[in-house]
Amino acid sequence: MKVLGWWVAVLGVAVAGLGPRASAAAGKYDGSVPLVCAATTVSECDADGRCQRRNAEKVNFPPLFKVDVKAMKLWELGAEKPRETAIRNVDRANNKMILSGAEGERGWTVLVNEANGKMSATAGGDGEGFVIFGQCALP
Amino acid sequence: MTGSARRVVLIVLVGQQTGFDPANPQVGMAPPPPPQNYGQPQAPQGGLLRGAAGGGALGAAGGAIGGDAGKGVATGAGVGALFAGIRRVCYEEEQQQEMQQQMYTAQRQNAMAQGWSNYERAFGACMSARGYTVR
Repeated sequence: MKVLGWWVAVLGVAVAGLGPRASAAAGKYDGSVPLVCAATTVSECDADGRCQRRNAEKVNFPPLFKVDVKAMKLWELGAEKPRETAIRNVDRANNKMILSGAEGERGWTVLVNEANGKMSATAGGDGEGFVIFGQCALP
Repeated sequence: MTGSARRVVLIVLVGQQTGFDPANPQVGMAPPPPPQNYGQPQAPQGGLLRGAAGGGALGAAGGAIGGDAGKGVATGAGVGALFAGIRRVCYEEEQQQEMQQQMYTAQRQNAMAQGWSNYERAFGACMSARGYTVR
């Protein structure tokens, strides 16, 4: 049930993410409204180059989170006490929005394809790295 | 007693003697150790799928996608644990657990083969003692 609920949520985000394809031709996402993103796959890598596929839950990353470029923050969805982090930098290149920041001893980036909502994120620490892929629902 | 009936009786007797039932071959082995928690800290309360299971994530996603951010997001967010909170799954322990599982499977197969061997030997001895030739 737990897994089913999560997949329904992910599917909802994925389906919502398909919508903007048509409108993407008219105008790409401009960052003016928040985005909801779902993490679908996570790879955990170590300094020896070994990578293991995980899921978001196993590595304690929120399966659903929100990106608010205006407020310059990312936060977890669906939690009683949602975790959040501050966006330090926003870059744009070739229809890709690249957000970055630092938290504790880790640096992170979140890239969102402004045309189709595909999301790629990384979190890097000392001798470790996580690569997260997912989908954001464009408005 | 007919030959086939005698054979059945022998099968039962040999099964009792060897502790191995060819109709239901099983070996007495302890199950493999349960999966470890890798010594990882528990997920923070109210976080991740626990919230999703309660419908929180669905509601949040629904509200947020619908454009009503106020409905979708709870207040009082905790700063600084989104990426720092990501935890590693211990590769070595995962490998060790996999090895233990493989060892258990191999031991079980060996025990099963040994059970069959003992049974066949005992069965052959019984049949031979009664004048039958067992190949």
